[in-house]
Amino acid sequence: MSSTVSISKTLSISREFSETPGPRCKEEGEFSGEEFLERLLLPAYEQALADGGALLVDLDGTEGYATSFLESAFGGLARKHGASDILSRVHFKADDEPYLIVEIKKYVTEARK
Amino acid sequence: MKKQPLIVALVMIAMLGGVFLAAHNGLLGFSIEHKLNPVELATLAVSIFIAYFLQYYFISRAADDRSEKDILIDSLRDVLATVRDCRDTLIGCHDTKTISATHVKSIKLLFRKIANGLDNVETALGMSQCSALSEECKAIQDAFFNYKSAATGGSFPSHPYDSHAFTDQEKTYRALNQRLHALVFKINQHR
Repeated sequence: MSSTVSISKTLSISREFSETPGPRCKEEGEFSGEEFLERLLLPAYEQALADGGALLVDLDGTEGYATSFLESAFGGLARKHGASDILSRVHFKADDEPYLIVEIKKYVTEARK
Repeated sequence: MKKQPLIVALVMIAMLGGVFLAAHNGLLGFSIEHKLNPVELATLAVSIFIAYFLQYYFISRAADDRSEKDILIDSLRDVLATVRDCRDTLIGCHDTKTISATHVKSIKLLFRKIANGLDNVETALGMSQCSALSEECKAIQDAFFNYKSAATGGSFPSHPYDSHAFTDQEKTYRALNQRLHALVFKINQHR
């Protein structure tokens, strides 16, 4: 939450996608990170970008996240838009598991195009 | 054990009484001055006060430090137990060569439990007398992410773990365990 850009869009994974986030790729199973990226995260990020605002991703309310899902979704977003843009424009709410924010930022920073 | 200080005190009082009596009667080369020096009397009073005050202050401080250490070590013990449970679940998956839906749910919940346990330790450490050890948490966090990545990265949960994944899990498990043990020892020895 270091940026001064105000939140223009909020995306709740449990309400808008699934309470049981799944594997990495679509061919591996339902509710994958790749599906989340393509169907919700990328459009929401691009809308926030067009509005000149920031995107808040609500990670609460799920049964937990595998590394494969997080890396595919958020690492995938960083591979498309660059790590520094993502870190400044995407914020996270993770009251259920605060460490997820550190973990996601790690995957964003380490994402290779 | 509780009678020992009383016996020591009685022996010291008896010895002082003996010296006082010997001095009063001019025995064994002892003598007594029958005049009171107010400065010396004040010095004695201050010395006795300091001796008592320091004793109570340090005992109370040591008890507080120990309580804080016990809370931190108990929290770390919980984390270590969950890390072991997680390892057992992963070994179960490796043995059966499957990752069932129940396993997936259990593995995710165990990693969440470890993460929140570590978050609690980090917060408590920052508030305690051992706050200088907070820097250790970064290395533990990294070791945790490596372990989680070895267990839930790659093609998890669509393909069973192969021997390479299992080796990686064991290696990262040991690294996390060692970091946690090291922190327990450092907290215990912290002054």
